[in-house]
Amino acid sequence: MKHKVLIGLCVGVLICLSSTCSEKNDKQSFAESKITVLSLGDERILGPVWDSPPRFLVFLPLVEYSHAEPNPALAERWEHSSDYKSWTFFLRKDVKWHDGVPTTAHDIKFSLDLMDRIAPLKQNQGIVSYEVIDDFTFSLTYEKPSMYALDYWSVYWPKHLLEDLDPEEFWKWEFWTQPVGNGPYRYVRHVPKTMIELEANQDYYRGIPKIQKVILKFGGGTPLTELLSGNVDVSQALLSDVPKLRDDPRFHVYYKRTWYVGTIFWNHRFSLFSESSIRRALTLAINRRELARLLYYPDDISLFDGISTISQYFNDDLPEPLPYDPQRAEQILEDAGWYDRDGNGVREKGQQEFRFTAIVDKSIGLDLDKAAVFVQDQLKRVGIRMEIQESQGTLNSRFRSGDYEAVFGKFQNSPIAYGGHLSILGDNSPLGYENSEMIDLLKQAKNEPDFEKRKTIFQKIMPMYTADLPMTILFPETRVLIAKKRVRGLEDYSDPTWFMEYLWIEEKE
Amino acid sequence: MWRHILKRLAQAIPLIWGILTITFFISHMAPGDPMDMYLEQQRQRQVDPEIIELLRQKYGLDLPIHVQYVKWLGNVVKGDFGESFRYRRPVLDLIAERIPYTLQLTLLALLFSTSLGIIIGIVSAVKQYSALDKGVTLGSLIIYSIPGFWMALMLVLVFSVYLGWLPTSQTRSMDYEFFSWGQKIFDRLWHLILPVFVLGVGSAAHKARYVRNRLLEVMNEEYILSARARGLKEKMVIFKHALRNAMIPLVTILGLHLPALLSGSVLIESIFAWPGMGTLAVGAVGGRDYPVMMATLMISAILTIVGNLLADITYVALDPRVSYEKKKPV
Amino acid sequence: MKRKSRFKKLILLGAFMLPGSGHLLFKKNIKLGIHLLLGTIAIVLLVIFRWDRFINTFQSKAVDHWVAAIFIILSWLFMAFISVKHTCEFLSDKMQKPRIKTPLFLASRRFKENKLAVVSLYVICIFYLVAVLAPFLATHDPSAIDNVLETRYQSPSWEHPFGTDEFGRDLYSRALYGARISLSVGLLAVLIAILIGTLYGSVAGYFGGFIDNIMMRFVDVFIAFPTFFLLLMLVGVFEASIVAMILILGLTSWPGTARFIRGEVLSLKEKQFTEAARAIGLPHRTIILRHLIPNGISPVLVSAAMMVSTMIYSEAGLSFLGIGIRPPIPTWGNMMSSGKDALLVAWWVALFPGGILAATMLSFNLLADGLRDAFDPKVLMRRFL
Repeated sequence: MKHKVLIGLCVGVLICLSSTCSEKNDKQSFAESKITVLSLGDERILGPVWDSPPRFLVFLPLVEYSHAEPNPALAERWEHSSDYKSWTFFLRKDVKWHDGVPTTAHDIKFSLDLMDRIAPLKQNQGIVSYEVIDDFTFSLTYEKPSMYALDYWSVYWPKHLLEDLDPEEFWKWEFWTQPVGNGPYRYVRHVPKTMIELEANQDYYRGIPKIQKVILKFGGGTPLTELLSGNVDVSQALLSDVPKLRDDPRFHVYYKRTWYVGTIFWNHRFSLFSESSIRRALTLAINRRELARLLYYPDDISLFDGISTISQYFNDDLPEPLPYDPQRAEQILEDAGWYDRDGNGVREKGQQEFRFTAIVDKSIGLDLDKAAVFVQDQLKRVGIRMEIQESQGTLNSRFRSGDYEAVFGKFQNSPIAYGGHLSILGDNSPLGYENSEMIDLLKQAKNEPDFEKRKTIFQKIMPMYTADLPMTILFPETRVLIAKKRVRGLEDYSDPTWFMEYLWIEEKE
Repeated sequence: MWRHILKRLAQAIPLIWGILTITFFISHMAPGDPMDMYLEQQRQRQVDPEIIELLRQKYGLDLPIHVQYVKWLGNVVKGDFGESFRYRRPVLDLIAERIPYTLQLTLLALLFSTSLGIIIGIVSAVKQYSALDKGVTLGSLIIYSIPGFWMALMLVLVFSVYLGWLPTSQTRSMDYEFFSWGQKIFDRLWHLILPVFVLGVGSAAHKARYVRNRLLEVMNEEYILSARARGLKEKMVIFKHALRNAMIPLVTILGLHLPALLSGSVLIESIFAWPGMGTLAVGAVGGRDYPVMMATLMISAILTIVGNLLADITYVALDPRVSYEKKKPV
Repeated sequence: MKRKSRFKKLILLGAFMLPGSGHLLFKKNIKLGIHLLLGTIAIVLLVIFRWDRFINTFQSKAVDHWVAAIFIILSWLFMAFISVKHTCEFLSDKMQKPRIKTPLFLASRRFKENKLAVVSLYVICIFYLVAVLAPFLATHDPSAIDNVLETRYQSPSWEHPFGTDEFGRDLYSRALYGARISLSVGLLAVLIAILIGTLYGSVAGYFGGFIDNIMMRFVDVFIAFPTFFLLLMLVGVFEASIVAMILILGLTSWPGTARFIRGEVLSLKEKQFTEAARAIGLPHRTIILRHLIPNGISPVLVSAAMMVSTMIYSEAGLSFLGIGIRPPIPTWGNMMSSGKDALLVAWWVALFPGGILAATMLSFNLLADGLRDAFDPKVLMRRFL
């Protein structure tokens, strides 16, 4: 009897083993120029997921951004009314879906209709109406002047393949794991949770991409182990991995600034932070250069205090940061009446101690949790006690409703998109900051398509910002891209999957 | 026999109902609006209040709590655990993908710990009060006391980082899909060594103690004494008579160990990046993915009940002395 | 006569200033004397070496420093009191009362025979002392960050016995402060669990029948949950502060105790003293609280010692996963968690907190083993289960 139990156990284990074994086993086919990219997520990455650059391997956006300026992609050119309310896009006529059917304005309308039906995809962009003018012309009308039409994340799907499918089953469509797109690469096959294989689209309107085959590899170990073992050619890595890879002759390290800026948001409604001089003192008391080093940022990373247009931001044309000067910070605090009279290491004014709680959400990334620990120590040195509270997932609503004292968060240093300047400093600012003049200028900047003019608007905004110092900017988020040296063309592009068609492989002796 | 099994099954039903109920109410005690978490997960940049209301209706969050409870219970009975906020897929699919990994880890650990436990238990019972016995006793207490996740880290440090003998994490190698069938099995076992060892070794210590004590107890019983008196060899006495009788209650111990193993697997899985239920649950907690959190809790509890049920049935089947009717519920 | 009384006073003063000296002088109860003397020496050394911190305490508002300083003073006073009291007895040459062999006395004698258990009791006491005195024993400020680039990930040295972490903080000092959280979470959670479990179990066992049935079905449901999954869910639902952590751990682990004590009560209920109590018309409450629980409590103590070890483990495990008590508050669990990320560069970050954690858990398990043997030498069979 006992043997039977044992045997039963063994059989059970074997069944479990084999049930996870039975995945597709294909022979690796040889390709001349192949690149393996470590990717997040799984085989659904090409589907309707927000913020996923690999989608642009397969699908073409209307406009494409390089160096923060919109360039034609699926749309050959576009026009807008003088009030920026209605936009017309003229599509390229030579773009075909990978099955040979041309991409038309009907596909765009179909995709917008579809997104409207699937609640979580619906965007509150203030679109009033959209219509197909002819097969290759499409127009959008907005409620208010808007630049959303140039939003870069949207991709559009083939109507002829999807219109007969049941929208109730939207998330289960096989199409999302085996997409048919119109971009530079076409889907070949995938192995669940392991990889997606793509090959160059021979009909691509810009010509055949130089790299023939792209493998998106999922899961696996950490970026570091994957790179060191030679499994992948390109991967994003952690900043703290750089010291371990810097001296490896196989790799090249690229630092890529994202447009997120790690920031401490002070709640101006909270009595401690209502004065701009106090916010200045707090900013002066934090050694941001050392913080950047702590988080393994490169030594020459530019720090700044101020907001700017996106092109200024990427071209390092940024306002000077306040220096690290704890003495001056202490001086300001004392001038404002904050002294540590009872010798407990915390300053007080009257009955109130200089104590506050900062919320940090680890899931936002940017190592803000570590930054908070560092800032806590820095402020302790000037007699300010900051408690750290970690939040998971609930931060955003608390932040929006102003239910906090200070928050370690991030914003996009850009006037266009959500999360940009206006969402922080605009109407109903979560900081409780009101400067109607600045809001007007920011709105102007947001709707100003001309980049030079936009820059002059920001030149007017800057003195206001410096005078008020509504928040403390810590550092611009920087990501690390590590690639084998044979992969070329990465200098100019932030994400390899986004701009794969511009990369090439250079084999050396 | 069959009546007993049926009776046990009938007893399991209210137990499972209790589990479902507790799970539901815990998740609805959560402060804050589940919708906030949901929207956070969608990375929506700005959502109409209108859409939020629609979603609230879709997920039935606008109903009074008892109606939600009844609805939810009905869905669970039908096998519908809802949809993950994070992965936007049916929770059942997610769990079905993960469960084989967890089971393969826990069952192998069970096998490993039982066989190791029995061997060590026999050795220390045969050499009772010797230095070996005392050493094994103390050693097993020490091993039992070492937190598994720390042991895992240290073993990874030694065997993977410094010696490079074993893989640090994952269930399979990178080139796995290009391996032959035999290589595949080998590769999978290769990746199982460390996690199974760490997961199993603690309870092996436990079982060794149990087997030792049971065996000593049995050795004093009359039929063993008479077997000895008949002049049977000591080996025969131990293996043929004593061991068999000492082993039977071990089956119930196996059942009782299942929740501990499942608990332990949470930490071990997250260290070895093992794509099982544990990592799913930890990820769900980190991302406030309520449907997944509820489902992992329920299913782990139900697995425990099933395990106990199986142990109980096996025990009854194995031990002729146990009557089917009068046994007290465990 | 006068000289003798002066002599007496001098001895008493000596016993007061240097607790334990009286015992050694009269060569009576030398063991206690040595303990008192060692305690005194430890306090003196601590105060001398940390004189500046000790003095500064009384000017600052830092609660943990105050607690530690007051603890030092109180424990010295306590030892002095015992020392003087005993010395008085020695001087007046009173005969020591013959000890009655109560079950407790017998148990403690059996416990003392178990060397390992005694050692582990010492270790546990030392750990708790260290936790309370952490502000004086720490060599560095556990949260001070200074010149990160030079100080981070230093391997163990005289300056930093356990090395430093990613922020360049001294891991030895952090481990001391971490002990406060880990040990107190363990102890308090067990107290809660024992309290609830004992009451619940004894009520169920005492009343029996339908009430017992209902109450025990509820316990069955609770026990079916694998602990860690349940903890994950609860910690995920409520944001985990230290207090929440203690409550969650305490409120999830009482069913074991309840089931346990119910069994004890069921058997005690049949004994004569219970029947007698009922016969004279004592209320249920009195019977449960005065008669049943005290008689059934010894196995609970054993399981409590083991539970402390599992509680500490659970807290460390949750913090290790990053969902328990979060940094910057140091606990052994989250120290190990950051050590996991740095395993390739700095093995010491994970090694030391985990080692201490293992030592603590081992001590509690050995203690439990010792207690079990002491309370019930016959039940060797139940050891370890």
